[in-house]
Parts: sequence; structure tokens; C-alpha cells
Amino acid sequence: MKHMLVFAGLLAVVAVSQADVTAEDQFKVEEDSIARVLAQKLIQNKYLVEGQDVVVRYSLFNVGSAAALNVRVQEAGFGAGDFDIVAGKADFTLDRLAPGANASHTLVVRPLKYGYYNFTAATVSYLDSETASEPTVGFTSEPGEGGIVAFRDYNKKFSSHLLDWLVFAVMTLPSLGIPFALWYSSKSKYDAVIAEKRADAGKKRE
Amino acid sequence: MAQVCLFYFSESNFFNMNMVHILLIFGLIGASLASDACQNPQIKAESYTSQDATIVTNIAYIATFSLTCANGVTGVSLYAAIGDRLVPVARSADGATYQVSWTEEVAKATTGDHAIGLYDDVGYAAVRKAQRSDEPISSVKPMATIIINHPVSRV
Repeated sequence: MKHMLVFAGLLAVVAVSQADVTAEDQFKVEEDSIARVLAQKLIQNKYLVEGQDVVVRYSLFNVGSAAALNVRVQEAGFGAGDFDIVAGKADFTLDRLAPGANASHTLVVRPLKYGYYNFTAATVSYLDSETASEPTVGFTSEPGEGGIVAFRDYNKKFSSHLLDWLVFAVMTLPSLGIPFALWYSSKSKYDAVIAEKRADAGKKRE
Repeated sequence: MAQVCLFYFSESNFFNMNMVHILLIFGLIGASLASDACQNPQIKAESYTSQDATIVTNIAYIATFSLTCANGVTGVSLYAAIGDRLVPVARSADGATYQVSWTEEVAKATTGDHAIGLYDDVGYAAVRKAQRSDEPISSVKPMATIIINHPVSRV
């Protein structure tokens, strides 16, 4: 029995050490140099407002040891019915991204409707070495769901309201103007009476 | 190209190689390099900057342009000097238009003209050499320059 236990124990140790070796093999870094591109898609807005600019920034990082060739990013998330592409290209290619280098690309769109919108990932494809025959395909990060505010609500909160102030000034004119007019008319009559009395007193002294 | 050179150097007739062969080889190398370079580049550019600084956290500067070469070369890889770095210029899916873009935080964004130098592969190598000897990028003459004007950031 004891021998069986010792034997079983030895087997277990050997098995565990073998398992360690295979785990190492699984996680061993490739010896050949290949490119690995990480892509980040960020929406650089404080507020998402209907009809106003939304700045989308794509950052590409090559964390591999070889240059990535023909890095193509295709953005299909801003459809023609929901967004207007104001500036920038939604489908672009970088000929070469050196190892350890990064690049960024900007797109400006305007939402045509308000409401909740799910900003999804764009696809990235690249050749991970000069000898690669098929492109490696991946996705950028996803910004997630964003609430696009209606322009009317945004304007109510943030515009300078010049026209509203002008209208207010015009509306306050009667409540200031009428008392002033009454006072002025009585003041001018009183001034006239005083001037007459002074003139009479002057004449009497002579 | 490499195969031709190897053939000439590996054969035993190396010592019989005369000036004509050498000139031919160098001529071919020279021609292949020269034909990749863009002669007399013409640039047609459009630029856009986001001007509403209340809504965005970073101002976007975007210039899209098309490049025509006098010698008809297309598909030229370009690099743009943004700040003190050279970044690769993005090309559209059909290869006809290029885009240079970057973003700046609203507080750091500057108004006015921003001149961006464009370099091809030869220029890129020259800039890397200049950077290694601690010279500024502006010491290398760019192939072309585009100007992005940012009028105002309305806060």
C-alpha cells in the first residue's frame, strides 16, 4: 500500500511537472518576428448633440517585432441614414506600421437623429509579416452606447440666448417707460410754474 | 534585380566583367529607384477643423488631399511630420486620396496656420538619419507641404 502511495505520489509530481512544460509551451512567445496591431476607437466628445460634430479617433499601435503591412481599417458603423460624414475617411489604409510605432486617424461625423446609439467596433486587417499570405483580421475597441441629445435641448442649455435677452429688454420698456413719462411730464410742469413765480417776484422788486 | 547581380558575381567570368556590365547594373538600379519617386508633386487639399469647443474634448485637424505626379507614379507611401514625429499618411480604399489628421486637447489647441511637411520613402530615411544625429525634422526639405488653418475654438 505504502509503495503504491509513493508511486502514485511520484506519478503526480511527474505529471504536474509535465503539465508545467506544456503550459509553458502554450504561452511561449513566437520566435519569428510578427506584427501585432492593437486598435483603439475613441469618441472624443463631452456631449453628443444632434447635428453637431462628433470626433472619432482611431489609434493603432504595433506591439509586435515586425512591421505590419497594408493595415486597413473599415468603419461601417456610421451609416448614411444616421450620420453625415463631415471630414475624414471611414475606410483607410496605412501602407506600413513599423514595430513599436503608433499612428492615429480622425473622423468627424454629425448625427442626423437624436436618441441612444450603439457605437460599435471597426474591423482592422493587416499582413503580420512580409511573407504573410493571408491578412490577420481583428476589431478596434468599442466606445459603447451613447445618448445623442436633441439640438433643441442642447441649445436651451448652452447657447448665449442673445435674442431672448433682447426680447426681454423690449418687454421691460413699458414698465419702466410709463412711470418715467408720468414723472417727467409732472416735473416739467412744476419747473415751468417755479420759473414763472421767480419771474413775477423779480418784476415786483423792480 | 538581386538575382541578376548574384549571377554576375557568382560566375567565374567575374574578372572578365567589363565597364559596360557594371554601368548597366547600376543604371538599372538607378532607374528602378528613380521611377518610384514622385516627380513634381501637385497637391489638391481640403482641410477641416472642429470649431465648437464646448461639445468636443479634443479638437480634430483633418486634411484630405490628392497627389498627382508628373511621371504618373501612383500609390506613393507618404509620411507627415506632425510635431516632432513622422507618422504614416492614411490612404483611402481606392488609393486616390490621402488623409493627414491629428487631435489636440482644447486647452492646447492653437489657432492659425499649421504647415505639415510630407515626405516619401527617401525623405523618410533622410529624416530618420537627421533624428539620429539630433537635428530637427525641418532640416530635411519635404516633398510637399499642406497647410491646415484653424480659425477659432468657440467655447
